[in-house]
Parts: sequence; C-alpha cells; structure tokens
Amino acid sequence: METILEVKNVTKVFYKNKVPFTAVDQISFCIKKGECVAIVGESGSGKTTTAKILTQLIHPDAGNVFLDGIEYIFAKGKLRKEFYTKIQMVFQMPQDSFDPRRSLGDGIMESMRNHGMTKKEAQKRMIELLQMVELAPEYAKRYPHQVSGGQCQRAAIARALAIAPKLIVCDEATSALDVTVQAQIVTLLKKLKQEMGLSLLFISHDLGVVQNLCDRVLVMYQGKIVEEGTPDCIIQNPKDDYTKKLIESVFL
Amino acid sequence: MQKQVRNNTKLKLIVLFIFVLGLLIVAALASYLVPYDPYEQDLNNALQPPDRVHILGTDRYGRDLLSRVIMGAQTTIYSALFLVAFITVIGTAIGMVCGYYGGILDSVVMRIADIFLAFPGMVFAIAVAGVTGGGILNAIIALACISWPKFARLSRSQVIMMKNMDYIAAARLAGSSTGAIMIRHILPNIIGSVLITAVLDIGTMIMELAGLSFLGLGAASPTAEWGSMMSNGRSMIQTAPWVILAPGAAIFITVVLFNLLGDTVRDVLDPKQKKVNG
Repeated sequence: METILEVKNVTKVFYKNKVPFTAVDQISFCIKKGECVAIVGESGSGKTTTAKILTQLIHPDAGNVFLDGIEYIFAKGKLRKEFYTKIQMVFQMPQDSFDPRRSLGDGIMESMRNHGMTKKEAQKRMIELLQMVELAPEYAKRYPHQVSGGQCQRAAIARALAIAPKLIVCDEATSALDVTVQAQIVTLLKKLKQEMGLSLLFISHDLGVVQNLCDRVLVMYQGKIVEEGTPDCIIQNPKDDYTKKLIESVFL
Repeated sequence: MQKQVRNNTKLKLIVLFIFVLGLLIVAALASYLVPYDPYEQDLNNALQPPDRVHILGTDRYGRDLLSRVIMGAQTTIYSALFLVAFITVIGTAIGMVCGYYGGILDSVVMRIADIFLAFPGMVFAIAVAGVTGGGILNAIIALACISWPKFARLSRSQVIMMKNMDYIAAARLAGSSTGAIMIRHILPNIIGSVLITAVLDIGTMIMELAGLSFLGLGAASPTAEWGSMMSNGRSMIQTAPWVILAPGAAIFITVVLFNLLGDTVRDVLDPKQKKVNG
C-alpha cells in the first residue's frame, strides 16, 4: 500500500530556564493510505508535540517528515499552502479551535476560500460537509459558544475534511467530550474513514476508543515510541513495562 | 434580569451616543452656529456678566464667550479625536506586530515604549511641545509621543495571549497567511478592548490638550480653544469668574460625556455578555 506519511528520527527539544527537555526523542513511523494509526501515552509523553510537528505548527530540531513523498519542513509560501491541502488537524478543545467572532460556517469555509474556491462553491460544499458530519445546515450560522462540544467537534471535523486532505491528525479529539458524545464522534470518524478512505493519526490516551477505531497503535513514553502493534495485540499481549502499566490503568 | 440589565446598557449607550453626536455636530458646524463672531473685539462691552445678549458673558476684549466656547469645541474636540485615532492605529499596529513576532524587534520596541512610559506623561509632553514650539499640531505630536505606548502594550499583551490559541493554529492550517491571520482573526478579537481604551482616552486627551494650551504650549491665542480660554480667564477668577467658568464647564461636560460613553461601550462590548442565540 502507498505510504502517506513517513516520519524519520524526529527530535524536538524544549528549553525551560535553559534546561533542555527532550519532548520527542528520535521517533520514526509511517502511515499508509487508508490506515488509522493511534499514538497513545500519558500526558507529557510527547503526543501533542508530535502532532504539532507533523502539522508544522512547530519545527523539529532534527529528523525528516515526508508527506506524500515530499519533505515540507520549513516550507514557506506556496509550498506551505500546498502542504495544508494535504494535512488537516482536529483539536482537543472544539470550542477553542474556532474563532469566537466568526461563525462555524465561516470557519469551515476559510480553507476552501484560501485555496481559491469562490464564495458560492465554498458555501455549497460547506453545507454538504455539514450533512456529512450529521449537522443541520443552520449550524453554519452559529457561533462556537452557541453549540455544544460535540456539535462543535463535528464542525471541526467538517472543517478538516473541507479541502479533502490525505491525512487528518486528531489530537485528543474526543478527550474533552463526555462519554456518549465521544462514542458518536468515534462512530462518525469510523464511517468517514470507510466511506472516504481517509488516513487518520489518532492521538489519545484512551485505549478503549483506540481499540474501537484504529488499525495500529504506537505507544509513546517519555518522547520515545516504546511499542507498536495492532490494538488487540498490544492490549492482550503487551511487551513493554510501560504499556502494561498503561493498560492496567485503563482496564482495571 | 440579565436581559433587563443589558437593555438598560444599550439604552444608555444610545442616549450617550446621541449626546456625543450632538456635541460633534455642534463642533463641526461651529462657524454657522455661533451667535457672534468669536474673534470680534468690543472693548466697550468687555467683561460683561452673563445676560440676555451675551448668554455666557464676555471676556476682557468683549468677545462673546458662548461663541468662543462653541468655536473652541471644534478645535479641542476634533484635535483630541484626531490624536486618539492616530495613536490608536499606530499603537495597535506596533503592538500587534511586536506581540506576534516577538524576539529582538519586540524587545527593542518595548524598551522604547518603556522609556516613554517612565517619564511623567505631562512633563514629557510639555518638554516636547516646548522644543517643537507652540501650536495645536505640535501639542498633538507631543501627546502622541507619550500616549502610543499604552495602545502598543495593550494590543501586544492581547496578541501574545491569543497567538497560541487553537483557532489561530486552525487558521494557519486553513492556509491563511500571517497577515490574514492578524487582520481576520486577531484584530477582531482585540478590537473591543482597544476601542474601549480609545473612547476612554478621548476624555483624557481633551484634558491634556487643554492643559497644554492652558500652559501656553497648545493653541496660540487668539484661536478659540478651551484650555487657552481658561488660561486667559485665570487672572480674573475673582472679578469675572464666568470667563474661566464657561470653558471649564465645557471641558467638564465633554470629558464626562466621553468617559461615560467609554464605560458604556465597555459594558456593551464585553464578549462574555453575548447571549446564546443573541
């Protein structure tokens, strides 16, 4: 199968009062087309930093990231714009990820407008997208503080889908939602993945959700990938000590 | 209850806005509204107390005070408005760029701002106006020098708070350029607090402009300007108090109006008060 994303020896070091802290330590992995890969681990294990590096919100100190066979790190201008047609992200806090002064519809259309769609086309597509994520068209006019977390996250998924990216990074996309809404969002992602052949990188600390959705799991601990495998395999047969602890803490 | 409070605030805003608008219109049309020529001297009628002919009395050259107060409104209010608009735009632009990019540029510009803030504002303005010479334009420049850092710091701190928010990251992921993010996402989110500060500043600026003119560093006589009019009346405060009271009251009323407007604008623009489905 075709490889969408290839991460090679990516490292990121943060400095706090000049003391270095390696948030991501030489990680390498790849995601194939149509595959859903999960990164699990406790908070502070480097999951979110990884997501930010992949979406170029921060730059890595070392290593390469190939998206669709092209290296985009430090890309500027046109190349950067092209990069953002291939990758999108769904954030942890749905309400924080929409501009409080703009409607959800505007937020969904922003990427389409930026990539050269006319207002009419973008509007039409936006309504289709809302239907796809099972939201009524009138939600386009609502503001982020006027909808629930689950509805807002659906809109965020619609926004991520807007320019048909090859890969969507979900950074704890279900963690801020309550359990029933979480299940709905996971079902929605599962449906979209099957219908559209979407590749997903699903970052979570919830192994239950991951087991339900993902094909492959990477376990991160202190910036390193300590274990890799299918969800069932990892949950039933963990090899690394940290994975064992993580699983024990979830399935008590 | 909440709704009631909000409606009252809106009503207050409308009433105050009408008053301020009235003031602005009077100031704009001053030369058509004045009952007498504000510059015509009539020494036979000097220092007349308020009566039916001269509602606010006359000054020591026999000029009609009402006409001079109305004419002075034009000079004082529009100078202050121009000044506030100027420092708001400049200060906010500087602050946004500093806050967004950070680094050396930010450090250098903010240290310069600190230098301006370290001096007592009025003393510094007097110094600048003294060096550049009198005149209303020089007074405006002097006050602009001391007041832009306030807006720069305000917008800078807001931008710093905002630039790491998820929705800015989301805008970047949508392929928006830095300029587009600043104008479409950051500016609309900070404009509220900037506007409130600006409106509240109008009153202060009227006072400071009048203050500089009072000291002889602003509008040169015979230009009708409230500060210099007060300065002219100062020596006669016991014999002819109306000469200083008329422009003084004008300054008082105008400043109070603009400050009340600023407070009300703040109440209305407070985003936390925005109602669901509102």
